Amino acid sequence: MAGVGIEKDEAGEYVLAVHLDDSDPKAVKDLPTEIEGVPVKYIRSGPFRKLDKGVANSS
Amino acid sequence: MSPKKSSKTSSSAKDSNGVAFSFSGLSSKQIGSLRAAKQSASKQFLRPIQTASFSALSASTSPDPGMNLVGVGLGEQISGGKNTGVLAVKFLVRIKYPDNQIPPGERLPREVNGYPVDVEQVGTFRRFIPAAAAAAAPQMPNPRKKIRPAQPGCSIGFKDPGNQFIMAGTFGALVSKGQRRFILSNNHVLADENKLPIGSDIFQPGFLDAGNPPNNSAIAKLTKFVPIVPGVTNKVDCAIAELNDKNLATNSVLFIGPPKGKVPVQIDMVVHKFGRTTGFTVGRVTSVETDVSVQYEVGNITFENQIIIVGLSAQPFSAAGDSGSMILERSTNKAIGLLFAGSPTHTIANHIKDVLAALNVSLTL
Repeated sequence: MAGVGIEKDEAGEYVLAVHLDDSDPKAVKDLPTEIEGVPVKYIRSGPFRKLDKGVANSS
Repeated sequence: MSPKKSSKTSSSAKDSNGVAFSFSGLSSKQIGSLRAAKQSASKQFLRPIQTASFSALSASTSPDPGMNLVGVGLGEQISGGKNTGVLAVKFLVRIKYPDNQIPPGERLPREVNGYPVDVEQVGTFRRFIPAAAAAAAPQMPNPRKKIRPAQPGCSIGFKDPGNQFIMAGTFGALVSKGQRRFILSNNHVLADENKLPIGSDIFQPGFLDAGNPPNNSAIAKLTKFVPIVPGVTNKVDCAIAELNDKNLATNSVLFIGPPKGKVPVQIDMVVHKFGRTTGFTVGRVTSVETDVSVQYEVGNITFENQIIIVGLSAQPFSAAGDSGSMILERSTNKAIGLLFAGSPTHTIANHIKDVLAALNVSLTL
């Protein structure tokens, strides 16, 4: 799992948003559709990385 | 006529221009009915924007169909990212707003002539500009070259003391404390994840962009960073470097201009930024309090209550090298966040108020 937060669904209702590491395609299969009565939206968005850019120095 | 599931059979019919289209499992009568629904919707909702000159980059954002609707068509209804097999009238919109963000008088219908409606976000359609017109259009600045005075949005970075790698990130904003002026960016862009000593030189552009031999120079010195700590919950990835001379940088973000202050971020806010890699991009905030795990050289780091942004116009909002970019509300140019991480589809930013508080500085306006 890459993140958990509060977002809106397509109808504008607040839901729990679970950001999944995209490297595990089976991850959603056994996950709940709601937690403590709150609907859960699963998003394949991770893994998250820092966004600088670096390469080995060849000079 | 009720919505009809498509099948493996197909019919074809020609439109008024004699162009043939194929529809699986529909009779000519059904195709005609579907097209009538589309034409009805197009006539009712697809109106030209009533402005003398329309600029995609400056157009206001509104759910009003007169501003937001850019196309009407026919196609398969998609729900939850999956094709349903149900034919629908397609409304193509610049931005897909949640229902509760749309005033009742500006909502698109849920069906047209008995057909379901599918709303799809496609961004803004643009003409392909001829070469002469393109030459006259505003040019996007190149953030990877040497820029003096340096501007937020351009390439910056440190020099690896071991000379093992070269890197670049983005100069986010000019910030102040009293009469002192600092470059604001991320810890991992200015301090190499807590590793560099205070006083280390910061270069513009970063060595990744400076060429060989490098055409860059030191413009600031690392002054302060908020440590990134594995195993605990972090809030910000930020650092400042004091300018060697106040004339070496301005507060005007490339292509965007100076920030007009800061504003609390909200879900569905439309935002923009200029970064070293992807330049100018526009996005929509999908969350303002998400806890994330981010991969660093030192390991996975957890951050709480972060901002999540997705790109508009089918473009990613950010990519590697954009770390450090300041994110601003598009309609006001007020700062909302400091970009520091992401994936090919999602961008993560610290709240700007948390960043400024942690470093005890103010935006230079």
